[in-house]
Amino acid sequence: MKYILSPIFFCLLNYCSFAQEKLPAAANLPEQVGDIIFNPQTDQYNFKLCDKDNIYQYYGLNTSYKGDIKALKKELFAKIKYQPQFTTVNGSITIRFIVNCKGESGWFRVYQLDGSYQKIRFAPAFVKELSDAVKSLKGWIPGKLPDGTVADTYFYLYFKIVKGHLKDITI
Amino acid sequence: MKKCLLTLICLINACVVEAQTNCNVYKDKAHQLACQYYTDAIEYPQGAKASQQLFIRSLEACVTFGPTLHEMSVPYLKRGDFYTWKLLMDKAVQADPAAYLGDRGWCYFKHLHDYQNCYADLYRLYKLTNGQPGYTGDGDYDLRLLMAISQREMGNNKLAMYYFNECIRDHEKKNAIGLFDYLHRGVTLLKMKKYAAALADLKLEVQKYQKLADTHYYLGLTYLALHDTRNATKSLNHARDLFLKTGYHRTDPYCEEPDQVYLTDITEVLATMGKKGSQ
Repeated sequence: MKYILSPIFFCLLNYCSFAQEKLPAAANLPEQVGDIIFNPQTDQYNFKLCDKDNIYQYYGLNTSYKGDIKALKKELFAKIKYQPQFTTVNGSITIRFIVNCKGESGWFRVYQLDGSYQKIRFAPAFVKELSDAVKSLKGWIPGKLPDGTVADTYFYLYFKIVKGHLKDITI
Repeated sequence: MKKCLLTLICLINACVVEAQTNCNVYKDKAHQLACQYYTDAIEYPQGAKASQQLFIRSLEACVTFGPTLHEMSVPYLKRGDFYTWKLLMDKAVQADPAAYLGDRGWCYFKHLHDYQNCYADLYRLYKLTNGQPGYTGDGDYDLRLLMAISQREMGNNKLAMYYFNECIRDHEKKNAIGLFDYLHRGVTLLKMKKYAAALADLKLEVQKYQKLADTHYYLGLTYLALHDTRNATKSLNHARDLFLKTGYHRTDPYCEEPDQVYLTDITEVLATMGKKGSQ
């Protein structure tokens, strides 16, 4: 009997520790990983999508920025200035949003992680500075479908912060 | 006790075997089931709800089924949810280090510019594989090159050169030079101000991949550092032409490439040279 129970116990043990780590639950899955659902409390009504049922990923439709990623990074680095009160901020901030078919951005979502990729909350003023900088970007070039039609796409920017200094921006 | 241990070992082993189309390769029901859900899941578009639901079922059947943990993590990585990506990838690595350390290291490098964790993973794999860690998922890079570039990005040029040299020597011996081997070592040497060696590598890169604008840009910078204005202008103009007209440049749909060059990088250097020339 114990030969049968041991592997079951092993699997259960694994499953319990696995479940504790808040992996996606089947009941809460969006239609697509990374979908942003409109939130009337935080999202602007005047940000319009061309086709709310078909929002693509930036990498499939080549959503880009005037002057390319180099120009985008230069603009952000110029806007985000070091402030000594945020010297304890270490980790990363990912800002995910939609670039619509007109090259406008909206529906911003912010994800904060510490240096070990664990969820954390940084000083709201610091997060707001980064978010405002991203929201102020005006050079978006919308993604295009193979037939040349412009489309709505998701995009994200990943900011790496060391002791309050912006060290790197990646997509 | 022996039987119990054997059962546990079999269970673990079955969990960590690479994904196969034929799920019958797994000897027990739990892993056959996990495998079946996995093969069904990958039939759906990546990141789709149906696909993720089947991955979850697969993990309910076997919580350490590596192919599912790995494949399920990919859309989270591509869409900026690095928390969930890492949860899944860590489990995959835990289940089968040899199979997934390379991929996790590559993702740290490519998507997160996390050179410290990238190097840690790849070094562990390097040790596990007697110095032959294999290639990136897209086949572009020998993982030893990523170890080298990671060390360079952390400021350790000496260790970077160690891995560059070992990897390139090995490739030369096997007559299997990678598409960007000489480019990255050349750029590293340029950054180290070892101009003659940089020039030699960048010329070898041109032989390997003649129409890559990026190489000609770095060649131009090297000539400039060597005060060879004539060749610098020639290389930079050629880089611009390749970029705009007949050639190629480094680009990737997901991220920036290491040592990637933009058109403005080339035109800015040319403009500066033009100003100096007219003074």
